[in-house]
Amino acid sequence: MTDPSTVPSSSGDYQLNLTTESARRFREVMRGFLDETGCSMGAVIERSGAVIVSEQRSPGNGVKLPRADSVGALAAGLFASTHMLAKQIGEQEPPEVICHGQDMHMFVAPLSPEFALLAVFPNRVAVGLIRLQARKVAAGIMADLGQIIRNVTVLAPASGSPPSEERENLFLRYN
Amino acid sequence: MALVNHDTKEVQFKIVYCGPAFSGKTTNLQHIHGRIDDDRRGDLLSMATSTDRTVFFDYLPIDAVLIKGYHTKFQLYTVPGQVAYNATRQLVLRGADGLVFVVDSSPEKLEENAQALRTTEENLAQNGVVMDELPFVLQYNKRDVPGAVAVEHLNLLLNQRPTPFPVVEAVASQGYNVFATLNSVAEEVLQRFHASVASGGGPGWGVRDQVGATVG
Ligand SMILES: Nc1nc2c(ncn2[C@@H]2O[C@H](COP(=O)(O)OP(=O)(O)OP(=O)(O)O)[C@@H](O)[C@H]2O)c(=O)[nH]1
Ligand SMILES: [Mg+2]
Repeated sequence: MTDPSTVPSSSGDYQLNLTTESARRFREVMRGFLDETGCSMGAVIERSGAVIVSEQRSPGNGVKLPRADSVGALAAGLFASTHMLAKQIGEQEPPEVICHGQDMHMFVAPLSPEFALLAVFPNRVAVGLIRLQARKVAAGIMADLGQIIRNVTVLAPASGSPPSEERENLFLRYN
Repeated sequence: MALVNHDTKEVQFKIVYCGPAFSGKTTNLQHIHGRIDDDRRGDLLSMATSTDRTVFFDYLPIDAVLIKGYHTKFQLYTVPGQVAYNATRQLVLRGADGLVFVVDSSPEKLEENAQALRTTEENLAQNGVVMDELPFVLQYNKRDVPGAVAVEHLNLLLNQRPTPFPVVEAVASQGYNVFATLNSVAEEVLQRFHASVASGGGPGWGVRDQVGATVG
């Protein structure tokens, strides 16, 4: 197990490669997490805001679930700023951050120095259960997470530069 | 930090707009948000004061073209330009694949631009990133203001680099060259990504090899 304090907050430029097998395992683990807890959404986010995997279940009552990438970016920001706040009062990383709403709530907790678990849940779900299942999630995906940040060279989407007409038209058709 | 998902066939990049306070970073994202079809982007999320000064970041996820069967997604962020927000700026810069530095061409903002560029370089260095090695575009914004500083003068002040940064002149409040700027940085990000992939890794692909569970 790594001591979070020994890992730099960032080590420059890097890339995460998520293989099909890892992605499927992640989804399975997240589905299991939703089944066991009754959460409406579960996601693993990288600390700079990228969503590695997310699964959603409709909470009913006409509640609309948010876009995973937007919630991921905000949750990473929330967690990072809470971390900095904690440091100001001499604390280390907060073990979790919980946002209590009227009907829906949010839970963010670190899985490792680089990754965090995000859960969105309705009133009927107990936080204790989420904590418990979060450990299972960590155990279920940690080997793969270790793999994807090591695995920087597998399966290229393309070799060489993309054709120039593709690059030039990157956003133009929306302009 | 590029995230490649071979299962969903998606590649995701993070692009951060930085620069001095009030230079037009949020305005860039507002224009992009307004011009891209709803189904190709998420909402523009802004964490700002009641007077629109960014306190944490703005965030806009957008989809770009399909390249070789892979969907390309860009996560656009702005950082707060105000000096007081150094710590939050540092957090948002983390994992950036490309940067747009939005310069205010107003004559009275010259020194502020230079100072902000130095701070950005420091912020990146603290994240272990060398600014000159990152896809980086200088947007000379507010070209419409009276007495806008000449481009040559701005270059002299801001762009004396080993390899000068690409420059785009813009009027973000009118949408002028906002997409040209985004295209420019996105193209560089993609080129670099493809080059790195082609060379099977190579420099700049730092690998972190330790992951430990800390839940519980
Ligand atoms: N004249 C002119 N005004 C502009 C231009 N671009 C932006 N503005 C205006 O400049 C002001 C500040 O713009 P913002 O986009 O909020 O600036 P910012 O860089 O996000 O500022 P912070 O969030 O404080 O760092 C707004 O009133 C904009 O309308 C431009 O090209 N020309
Ligand atoms: Mg702003």
